[in-house]
Amino acid sequence: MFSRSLKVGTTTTQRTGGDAISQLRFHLLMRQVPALPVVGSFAERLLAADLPDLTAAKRREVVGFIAHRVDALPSFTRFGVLLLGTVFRTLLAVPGGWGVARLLIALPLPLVAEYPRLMRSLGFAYVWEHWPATTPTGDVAVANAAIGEAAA
Amino acid sequence: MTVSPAAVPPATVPPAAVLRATAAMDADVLIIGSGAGGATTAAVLAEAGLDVLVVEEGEWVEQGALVPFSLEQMDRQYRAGGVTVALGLPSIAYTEGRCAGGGTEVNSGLYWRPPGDVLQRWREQFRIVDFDPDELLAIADEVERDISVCPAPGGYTEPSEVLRRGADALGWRNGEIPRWMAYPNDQPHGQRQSMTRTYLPRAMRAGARLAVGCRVDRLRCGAGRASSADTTLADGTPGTITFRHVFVCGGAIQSPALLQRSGIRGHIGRTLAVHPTVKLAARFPEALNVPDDVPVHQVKEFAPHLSFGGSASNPGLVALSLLDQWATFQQAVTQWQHISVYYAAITSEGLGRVRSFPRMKDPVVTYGLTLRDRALLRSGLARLALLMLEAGALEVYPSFKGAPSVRNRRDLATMQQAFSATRASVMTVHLCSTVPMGELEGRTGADSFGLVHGCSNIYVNDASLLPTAPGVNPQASVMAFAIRNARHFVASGGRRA
Ligand SMILES: Cc1cc2nc3c(=O)[nH]c(=O)nc-3n(C[C@H](O)[C@H](O)[C@H](O)COP(=O)(O)OP(=O)(O)OC[C@H]3O[C@@H](n4cnc5c(N)ncnc54)[C@H](O)[C@@H]3O)c2cc1C
Repeated sequence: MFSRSLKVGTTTTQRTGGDAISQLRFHLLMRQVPALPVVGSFAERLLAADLPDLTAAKRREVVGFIAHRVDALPSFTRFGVLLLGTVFRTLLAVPGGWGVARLLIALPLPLVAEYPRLMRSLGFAYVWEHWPATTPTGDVAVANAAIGEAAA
Repeated sequence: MTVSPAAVPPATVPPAAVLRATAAMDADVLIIGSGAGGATTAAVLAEAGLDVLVVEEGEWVEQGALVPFSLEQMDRQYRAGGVTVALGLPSIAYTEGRCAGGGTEVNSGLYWRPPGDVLQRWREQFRIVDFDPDELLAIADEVERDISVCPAPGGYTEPSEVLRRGADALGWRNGEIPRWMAYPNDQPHGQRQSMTRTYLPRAMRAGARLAVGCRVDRLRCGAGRASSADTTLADGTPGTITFRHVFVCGGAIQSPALLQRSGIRGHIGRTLAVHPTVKLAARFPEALNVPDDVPVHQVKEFAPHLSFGGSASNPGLVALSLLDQWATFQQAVTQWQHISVYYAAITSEGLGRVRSFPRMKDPVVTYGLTLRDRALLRSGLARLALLMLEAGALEVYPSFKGAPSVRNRRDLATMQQAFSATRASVMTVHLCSTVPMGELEGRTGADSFGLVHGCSNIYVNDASLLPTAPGVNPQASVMAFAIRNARHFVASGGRRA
């Protein structure tokens, strides 16, 4: 039936020159443009608007986490996110751009709406996992459990 | 079906036994992926005396080293940090394990045997030959012993009781789902008997080698045979593995993607089937949140089309479930201890696709829900909200844009009217059917034992083979089929190879 092959001594197949070039091209194409400079400013503005009382230090930490996650996205999704990120970054660079951006993200545009949603999902998950006593404005609640009980 | 709660000693392997992949490796049988399909295949083949090498893209992480459902766990044990999506209207978020043991390391551990009627249907509709459902169920018996499938000892958590209480009040069928857990000294928190604790150590004891940090980019094929695989190691360096037979066990997204990248055509990646879920958060008078575990009850009154269960509910996940309607639901986040998250899952009639494009590392995944799926999601969410009210919820927050909060039965009608699947947070963790097995031409990608059509030594042996979504949690079906197919491979001496 089968024979147990010897585990000592390994074989390597040679890659052809053409393969090596296409492999190189692949690696160049896939070389990662870091996400932070592309998505950072928008994520920062969005968090500042959603959670105005979150401290600047915490906000920076959250933005770092968001960028880290965008870097890990599957290639196609990452490409799309960075494309939208570039559009929004450019928008934020012009005077009044944030107002236009807010208008855009409020519209039910299928792919565009996914961008702020992704930023918020990652950001909110991070904020409440790391600082569960955070209030909806980003402040720190003192007696969180007591508030819950009182409301109930 | 289940054994009693067991105090199984952890079947750990010494860390030194797990290899770092190297640039040049070889084996008689290469197994790509170490999850539910790959680990069981490895154990069967190694115990039959074959020279087996399992390669796994992710790392080996000890069970219990990370907080379950935490962001750190997502980073280290999930593909892309858990942020993966099937594009569509709506897009469906899905997650895949990416570590030694695959999805079995991170999942909820809820065990469902493959349903008998589903097995019959698969056999007939996909023409799976030499397939006896009773034989598969006998394998399921073995699996249940091996991974210690048992009910939870002692009482249930409050989020689990909510499901039971609400369903009982409505007269809906419900019950505890046993899990693959060991409960040393009857501790309420079990140890998940995942692949790193069961089948992988078993395979390694029988001589299989497991090399982690090694992604297979493509198989080198010619005339229906593959003889080597191009790999990328964790540090980015390329490598090669030579072999006589290969089992592709990368899961229902990665397996078809790898076959496509290797130039293998046919019915590959065209029929992705999932169990889409919609969710809600429910707030109760008492603090009930359990951040690091899921409820063990499921409600099966409307099964197989519709089932209800509970999700992980740490504060981060509670915030996520309120996100779609943050403007009106945001105050609830301060009461996360009183909130638990639940889902309604459907057996979808829609289908998805997995497509690989040249020079792209990852595949593009798409999924389309049918009108019937959308209606089922709507009625599912409404019924789940009703169940929550019956269980004593003060307020229910459905996860879709424009959702009203639900405090009484009148609100349910408003909620149902406002619901649209396109605006909902739809997600899934059950992915299958991208290389369906059987002899039916045009609708199957592999034969009745997982040999890829048109190939002589390339097998698929994971969730991709399940002909359709089983309507229940799928891991048991994946494992039982993988063991059956691996045994057949051994018995037939590798067939055409
Ligand atoms: C969060 C979550 C909860 C779940 N809950 C349950 C539950 O309660 N009950 C249940 O029955 N099921 C559950 N499931 C589903 C179950 O885990 C899967 O059905 C099962 O793990 C599928 O097995 P598989 O072998 O097909 O793939 P996986 O277990 O996903 O294993 C595939 C492995 O292959 C590796 N791999 C992929 N491509 C490559 C490559 N190119 N090179 C090298 N390695 C590669 C991956 O890193 C991965 O480790 C859950 C899944 C998730 C994600």
